[in-house]
Amino acid sequence: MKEVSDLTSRLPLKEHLRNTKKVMKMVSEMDPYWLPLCSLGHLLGVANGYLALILSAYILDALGNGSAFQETFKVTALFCGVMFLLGNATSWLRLRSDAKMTGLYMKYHALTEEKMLSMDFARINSPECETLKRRIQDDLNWSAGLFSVLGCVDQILRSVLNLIGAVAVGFPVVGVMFVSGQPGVWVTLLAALAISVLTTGFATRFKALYNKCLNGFSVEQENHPPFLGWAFANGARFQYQNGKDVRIYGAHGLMKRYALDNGELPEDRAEFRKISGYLGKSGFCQVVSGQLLEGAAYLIVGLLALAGSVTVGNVLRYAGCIRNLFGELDGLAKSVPDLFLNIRKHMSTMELLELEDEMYKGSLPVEKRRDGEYRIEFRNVSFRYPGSDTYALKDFSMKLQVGEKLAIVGMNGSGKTTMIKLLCRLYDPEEGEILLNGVDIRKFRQEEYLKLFSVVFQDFKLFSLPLGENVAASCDYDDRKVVDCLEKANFGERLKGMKEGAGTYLYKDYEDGVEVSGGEAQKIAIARAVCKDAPFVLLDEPTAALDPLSEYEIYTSFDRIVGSKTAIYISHRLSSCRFCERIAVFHQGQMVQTGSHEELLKDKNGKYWELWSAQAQYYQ
Amino acid sequence: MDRKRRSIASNLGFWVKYYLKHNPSIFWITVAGILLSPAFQMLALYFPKVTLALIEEKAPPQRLALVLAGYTLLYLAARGISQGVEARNSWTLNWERQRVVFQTYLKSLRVDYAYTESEEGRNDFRKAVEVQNRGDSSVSSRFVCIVRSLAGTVITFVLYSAVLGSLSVWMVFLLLALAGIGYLMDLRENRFHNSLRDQEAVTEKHYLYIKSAMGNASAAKDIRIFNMGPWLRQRMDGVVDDREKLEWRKAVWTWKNGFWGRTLNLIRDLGAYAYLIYMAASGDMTVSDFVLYFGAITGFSGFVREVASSLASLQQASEDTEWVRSYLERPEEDVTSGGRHISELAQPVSIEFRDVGFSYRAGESRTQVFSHLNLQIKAGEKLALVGANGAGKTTLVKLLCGFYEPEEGAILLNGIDAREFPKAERYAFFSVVFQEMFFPPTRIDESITLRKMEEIDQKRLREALEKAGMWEVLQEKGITMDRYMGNLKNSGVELSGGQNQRLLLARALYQDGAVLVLDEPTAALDPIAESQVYDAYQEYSHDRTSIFISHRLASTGFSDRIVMLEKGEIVEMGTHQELLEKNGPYAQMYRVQSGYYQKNKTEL
Repeated sequence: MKEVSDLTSRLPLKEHLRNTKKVMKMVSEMDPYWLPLCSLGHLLGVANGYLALILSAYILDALGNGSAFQETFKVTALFCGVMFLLGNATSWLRLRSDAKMTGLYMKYHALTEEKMLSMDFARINSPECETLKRRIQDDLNWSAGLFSVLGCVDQILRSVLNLIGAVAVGFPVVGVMFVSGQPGVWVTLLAALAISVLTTGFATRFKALYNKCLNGFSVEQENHPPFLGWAFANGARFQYQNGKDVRIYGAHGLMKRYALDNGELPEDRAEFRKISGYLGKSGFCQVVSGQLLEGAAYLIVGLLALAGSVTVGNVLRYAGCIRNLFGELDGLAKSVPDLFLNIRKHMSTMELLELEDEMYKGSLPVEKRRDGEYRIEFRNVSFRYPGSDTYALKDFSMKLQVGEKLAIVGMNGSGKTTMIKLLCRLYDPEEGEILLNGVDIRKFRQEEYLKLFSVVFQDFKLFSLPLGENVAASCDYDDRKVVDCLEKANFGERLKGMKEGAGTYLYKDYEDGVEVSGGEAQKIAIARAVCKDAPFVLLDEPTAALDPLSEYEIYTSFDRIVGSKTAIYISHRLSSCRFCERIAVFHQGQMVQTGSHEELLKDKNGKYWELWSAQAQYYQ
Repeated sequence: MDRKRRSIASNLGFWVKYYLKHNPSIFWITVAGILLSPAFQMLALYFPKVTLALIEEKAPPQRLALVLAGYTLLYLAARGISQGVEARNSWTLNWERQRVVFQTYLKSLRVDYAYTESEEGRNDFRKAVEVQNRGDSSVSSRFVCIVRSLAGTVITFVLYSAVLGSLSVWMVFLLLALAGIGYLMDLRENRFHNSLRDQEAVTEKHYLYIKSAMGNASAAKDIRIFNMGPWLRQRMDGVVDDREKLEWRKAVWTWKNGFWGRTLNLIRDLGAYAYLIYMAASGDMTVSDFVLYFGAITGFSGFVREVASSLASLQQASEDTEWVRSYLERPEEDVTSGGRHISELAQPVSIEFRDVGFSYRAGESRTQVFSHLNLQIKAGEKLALVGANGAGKTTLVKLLCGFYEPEEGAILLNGIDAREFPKAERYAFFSVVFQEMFFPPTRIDESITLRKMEEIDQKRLREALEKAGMWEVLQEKGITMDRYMGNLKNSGVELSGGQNQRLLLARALYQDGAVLVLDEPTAALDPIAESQVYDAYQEYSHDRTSIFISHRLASTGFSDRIVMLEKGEIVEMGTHQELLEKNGPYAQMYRVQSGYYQKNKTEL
């Protein structure tokens, strides 16, 4: 996988077209009407433009011929009327297709996030996925995302239709040119074309240089000191609290260096000037050809008119057509590469969307048992986190008995949470297997298997959506059941204080909802676990900031709620788990001891005793 | 709070001063831009007329070629300048807009800390950054662009008026009136769009929230276990649907409003054609003049409307400027003045809170934290401050360091009111480990000391790291001082919670402040790391006045005295032993927390 995508290297046309097709297919799947609406709008708009040209030609010739006012004006009025109607239709189509663009943009740019919903969990934080996400961000950094692509498509459609119009309306002039036999006409045409090809070449070259510099500039240079302006000042991430350290430790100078000075080193400024120079030169070469061709168009038609081959009125008409022809060709020379470049910027997005799951997912149904007789066994399981060399679990075996209350204790990094992650199939073991009623869990249908577990993770998340939806994890929920679960989780008092009840939004991120404290959030998370009503419940260490007493209370009340279900409790505080019948002590990825509190304390050489003394020493 | 509303001229002055100071090249770029746009307009207007005139008078072909070539060259020269100017302009403006943000950030480190922490200060900062975080339509860029286009359009408008005025002065007035009506229609449309802006912002907010919720890697576990995919997708569909409905409404309305504008244009065109055809048919006008005037008539109203709408956006830009301006112009906190110098103080220092009253203020509302708080800390004493969340422990530290000043009473250092010392000296007097770990992703030595690398005394830093027990750790891991701290792409150093805690200790040691303050440093540590960290701190605090804050009681064992706070009041004070004997709230709390660890006691 490439660290950064190179947007400047050459790509065969076929590849470009394939990429374009890929993105446009996605667009038309999301909204099949945008492209037709957009095309029709341009068709009418272009037709309108040429009507105006034809009208002006007509008027000028009529004036030249000395036609009567009334007759000329009658035709003019008719034209104006038709153009008025066309204009209204065009406007309507444009507004509609522009409006659709917003919806398209929203849908499209949520695709990567939506992908995260279903992707293998292990993949989300994998280096390749991180790299892709970073590339997506880098690639789309200087563009307006899908708007850039749709904008280019829109422009190309218009150019093509305009070209067709120019040829259709201006076509007779070619015949005139041949008949007139004026050498000046041909000289002008050839000279203008030659120069414009040349300058377009220059323009492309400068543009390429510009893109190359830009690309090099946005890629963090090895020796360039980091520039952290946005990292510190981003309004959403701004940490005013850090101002305390800055003042106490006098960090103003350091902050200024990294948040401002490193962003405007002299080398950078020189580079800026160079880059903008390329942009200016490329822009200039671009307009040279356009301007030259327009001048040439007038000259050619003017020469023909002087020779009497073209009427004065048609001078405007043909010059207009020739100008449009060249102008649009010129425009296409710019907008087509622009489209390809913009499309290319979306290839990292496509790559992410096309990532396929690696985990094996079986198709065995999970037997539904009312008695909750599910037996789980870890058999010689070893596991390393992706990209890590150390084993988080090593040759780990354990059986979970139905209906038991098991506590897992151990230091940070001893494998407690890892075991839960494996059990929930967030990761698969490297070696060994995990069995459900004797069958490897990989063989079950993933979504059915996951129904067996309710977990309150250490870093559980609630969303800023209605309380009831959070508890039921769904848009539609049974109000009574949700309230019941919240009451069980000791949230009943607070719920009564909420005017909207279970419909109350949490936090302020989505709607202006209510703030809940860490402890209350925990209760909601517990209610969510209860609401799921799964045969296994797992409680990972609640937030570390809780004092031991509150933690103990949470554990015991949770234990009351889950009743006779199989439950696993994790903590590094030994005090929290003392109600459990069985305590398993984890150390360096293995289960080193198991037994009741009293049994474990008897072994003075055991890990449990060590942990216990460390925690107890301040209380002696 | 009401922001000041200064005049457009005053805010224009602000930006002029800003750019003069940081990037004067903006000025010639802008002047060039102002002059070029009318030049283009006039060239474009006269180009067809001149061609047709030559044809009409049957000029020799050479003359036609010469004139057209001249025109083209003129045009190209103008284009060349304009392209160069544009390219420079966009880069310069883009950097300048970012610089404003960075300066706003740096400013936030120089104003009163209390302000940056307040609701108002946070909001002001967010807005000041937000108006500068809109790419090309950020206010610093917008101001320049609007001024430029406004000036250019006004000149063009005058030139067009001159052209049309030569035909008929009444025509100019008539067209002005028509353009005026057109402008009113534009205004109406703007008002309508503005009226939808809130709803748009809401759908935008909803969209971004659901999007980030779906992509939130730390929610991925919950999303899978509780099968939240369908829920979030349904929510997303709802949000997109809301927005599409809004866009549909907007399209319908805009079309209807535009219909009147198009009708007006139809009337104008018919009128213009009638007038010009009549003139030409009666021989009062040449064909080339017909083309010129028709072009001028159709173009005219566009410029009038542009002037009007530029003025409106200038007003808006001026309002947005207020956010940036009032932040950047906010007075800095005075850190240098004071009657005495902190070096006068003998160490270790004694601290006294004498009759201190303090409350947080947000607008009208006040939240009282302390009233008549009295607390004496002896020189060299180790004080443990305990109490539940919200008891006022952290506020006490903020008052001590000088982030806030007491409303009543005073804080005395060796009996001298702390306000008599310059703020900068007072800050440096303390070594504080705050709850929120701050390690900027700079070079690692800079990140630890918070000083620029050339100001760092490497020997002293090494000593500090050794004392904090981190020197060996860094050596073992092969981490050299020129590596960068956390989160950067390649060589970022990431350490465990306990190790980071010890780096903070090294920072405190390096600062060598006279008073050590620890604000709940161990919340995230497992027991063994926790006891290691306490050991390290305990050693350092040796004959230094120290304050340990915790809602756990583990730190109280080695403190000389324990102060228990409850709702801003000292409820108990004494040594660990004394308090246990007293059997008050402290003893209760201690028993609850330690219960499990006492031998022979497995139940509470």
